[in-house]
Amino acid sequence: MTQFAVDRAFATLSFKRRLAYKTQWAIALVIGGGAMLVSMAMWHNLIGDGTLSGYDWDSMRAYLIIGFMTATVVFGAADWHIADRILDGHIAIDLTKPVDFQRARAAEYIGSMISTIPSVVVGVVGAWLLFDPPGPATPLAGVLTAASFLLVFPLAFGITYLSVLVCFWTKRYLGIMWLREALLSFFSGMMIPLAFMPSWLQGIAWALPFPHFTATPAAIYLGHVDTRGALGLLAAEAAWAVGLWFAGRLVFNHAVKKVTVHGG
Amino acid sequence: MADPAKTLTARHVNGVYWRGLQAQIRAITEYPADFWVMASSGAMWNFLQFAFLSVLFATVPDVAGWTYHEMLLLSGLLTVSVGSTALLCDGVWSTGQMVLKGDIDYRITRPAPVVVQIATTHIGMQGFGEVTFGLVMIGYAWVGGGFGLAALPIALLALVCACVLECALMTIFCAVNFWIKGPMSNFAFMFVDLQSNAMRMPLALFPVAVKAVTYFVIPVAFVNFVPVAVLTGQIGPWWLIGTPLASAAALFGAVGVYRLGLRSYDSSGH
Amino acid sequence: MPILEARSLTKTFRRPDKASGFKGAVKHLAQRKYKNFTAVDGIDLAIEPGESVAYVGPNGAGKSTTVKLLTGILKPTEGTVRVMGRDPHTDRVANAHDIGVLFGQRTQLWWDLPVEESLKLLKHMYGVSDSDYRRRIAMFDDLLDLNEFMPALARTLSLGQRMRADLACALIHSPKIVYLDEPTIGLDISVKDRLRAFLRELVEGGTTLLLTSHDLADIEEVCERIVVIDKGVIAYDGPIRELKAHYITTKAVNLVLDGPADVPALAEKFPEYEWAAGEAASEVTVTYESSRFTTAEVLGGLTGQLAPRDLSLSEPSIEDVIRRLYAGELTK
Repeated sequence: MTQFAVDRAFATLSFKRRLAYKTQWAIALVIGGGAMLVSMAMWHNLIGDGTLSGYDWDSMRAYLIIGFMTATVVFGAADWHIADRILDGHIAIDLTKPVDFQRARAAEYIGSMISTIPSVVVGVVGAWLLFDPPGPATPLAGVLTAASFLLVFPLAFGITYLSVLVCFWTKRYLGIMWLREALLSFFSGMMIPLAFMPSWLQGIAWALPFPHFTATPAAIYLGHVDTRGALGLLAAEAAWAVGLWFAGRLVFNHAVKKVTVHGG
Repeated sequence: MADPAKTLTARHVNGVYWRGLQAQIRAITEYPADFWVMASSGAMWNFLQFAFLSVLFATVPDVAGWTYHEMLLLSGLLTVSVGSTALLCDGVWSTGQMVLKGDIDYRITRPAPVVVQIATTHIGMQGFGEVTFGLVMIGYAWVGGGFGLAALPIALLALVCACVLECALMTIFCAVNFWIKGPMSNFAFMFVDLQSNAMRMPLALFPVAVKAVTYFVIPVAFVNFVPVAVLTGQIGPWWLIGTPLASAAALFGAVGVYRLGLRSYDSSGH
Repeated sequence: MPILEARSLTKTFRRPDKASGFKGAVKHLAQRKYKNFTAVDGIDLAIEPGESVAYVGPNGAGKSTTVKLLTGILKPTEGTVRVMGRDPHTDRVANAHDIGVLFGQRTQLWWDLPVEESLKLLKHMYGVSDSDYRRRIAMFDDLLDLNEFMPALARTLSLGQRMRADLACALIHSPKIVYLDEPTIGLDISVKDRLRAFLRELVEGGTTLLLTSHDLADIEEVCERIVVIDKGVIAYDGPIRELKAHYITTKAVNLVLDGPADVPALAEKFPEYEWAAGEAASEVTVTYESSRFTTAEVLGGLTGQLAPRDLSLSEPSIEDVIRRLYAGELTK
């Protein structure tokens, strides 16, 4: 079996497993959709006919929907499976197999992200019907936004994988996961567009990979950056994804050598 | 040998409850690293709520007529109440698991209320961070908003009732697992998430139906919105009666629903 | 005056009758069909104080359901249960003080706490005095080596240790009646022996015991009375001694001969006995009816004629009886 066939097998399995929980997609929709509706209500009240920090109601609607899309795909992914493998010692068996641990987990993770697409689609269609957001600034911007969205998949894995590797040193994962999600929510712009933050805080945000989850695709979509700027952002996003992948390999090799495995 | 009480007294139940929690706290001290990670994550979320409001109010003067400090108070009260459930009744989240595995059996054969035994099987350490930070936020909002010492008793009442109400609602939603079997209560999960999103905002932002639901169907409005709205004079003071009433009603509801659940429990699964 | 009395005890479960898969689930939404499954059917049981009763039956016979009915976990569909005059389901709390329960497949220890903490929590729950508590812990330590793992967290215990700890939990309040459901499952023989010895002492002290087990050695060593349940109905209820005597009509002698045993030849020579080959070529087993021949006769006759190198006597096996009871070969 070629490597990509193996990848696809892992991804498909993960996808099917997630869909097996028939209610999962509905729950993701309720939670993500609920958050989006609350944000819509708040910003509509605040912005009204005017503009705040460069966002009018039109662009804010689009912004919030983009935020919903990436949030659903990222928060709905199955990071627990990776954590459990390390915490319960299953990894000892994994290490004896001729399958690259990171690659297999990446395929599974992305497979689970794909399984959230139904929720995303339903949510976006619903939001589009309710709120009638504006289209992309230009057709090219639309394409580049889609590219940015696609890059979210490996980027999300990169961040998650690194955070899960902490399990080699701690006994539990839940706190790490919450810390990561909190930081991601804030510094991605999901909570509030980065433009509202003081410049020093924006500086911190852009030093991290998080803004690429909402600020980047939204900026491209809304035409807040021109084509060159958009390509620059995409390059940065891709660079983070690649960098985190290799950082993951480094930490993993270090962890396997140094730390004993949990479990009997 | 003393003859033990053959019925449950409030004192006995209280004793079982607090001893159960104490035992969990002693267990926590075994893993200080875990504790700090969890407590920080609890604090972090709420610190970021604080950051969000601070950033927002640098640009806008108010949200639906609510000022910065009023919003902080709203947020802080919610944070403390949700955090308190992690400290006071975190075990109810495992109701579904225990039903599936038949672990309820032993609890039925012991002379203590089953819901109390289950509630004290776990403490969520993030609750320490949440409650601490939430109280800080309330303090900061109180001073900054100039709410004054005279209104402090209302704050105390609100805090206590909020915690009781939140714990009771959490228990009810987790008890759903007696009928809809599963390792976790999706209803409880959705409830907490939706509440955490929506109830940080003034209810005026939402359609009237939301107000009706959060007042009279699932009375989350009484957890944080009503007390703060009374304090700021946005609604009449007699609404405050609703807070202890809702808490008491929810508490009875929780005990009742759990009892109903136990009645329908048929201990399938080994 | 029986300490436990069950009359016409019946439990029927209502299970949704739906086809598997998505279609089945949808169909079930429209048309709710249920299947009734009677796990326990009209059981009459009376146990006197101080009795040690074995409760035996094949898988799915209704053993666990009966125990759950007797302990108040389940409510009977029909019939009554009275333990010390109380209904264990409606008088749950009062009943709880007088019963001890051990489910072998599950633990009642607090998973993340040391064993000592679990026992202390139970001490307070049951209202055990400090002096009684100390005395009982000392006794458990004496008989079960409890102090060996008192400070250990429940999740680090071996199965044998966990079972011993669970037993201490079940008995810390000195209950009058104890229900043990598979207390020796998965244990090695030395731990089993200790547990059985401990249980014997318990019974001697006046505690009433109801024990279910698939290990018939447990039953023979601990209990005096045996109740066999099959398909929800009691198939036998009486002293173990009588069960053996009633249904075991044969005994056996195992002989080791000097050379290879010629079983057909021996069977021809001694047709009044049943002959079967043993494990090794030189071994043979002789089965004879104990009502017709005494052991002395058989031994005398055979040793004289065959001069065996070695022999051993087989005790009547309760396994065979139970197996035949399960198979419905025997009637009461």
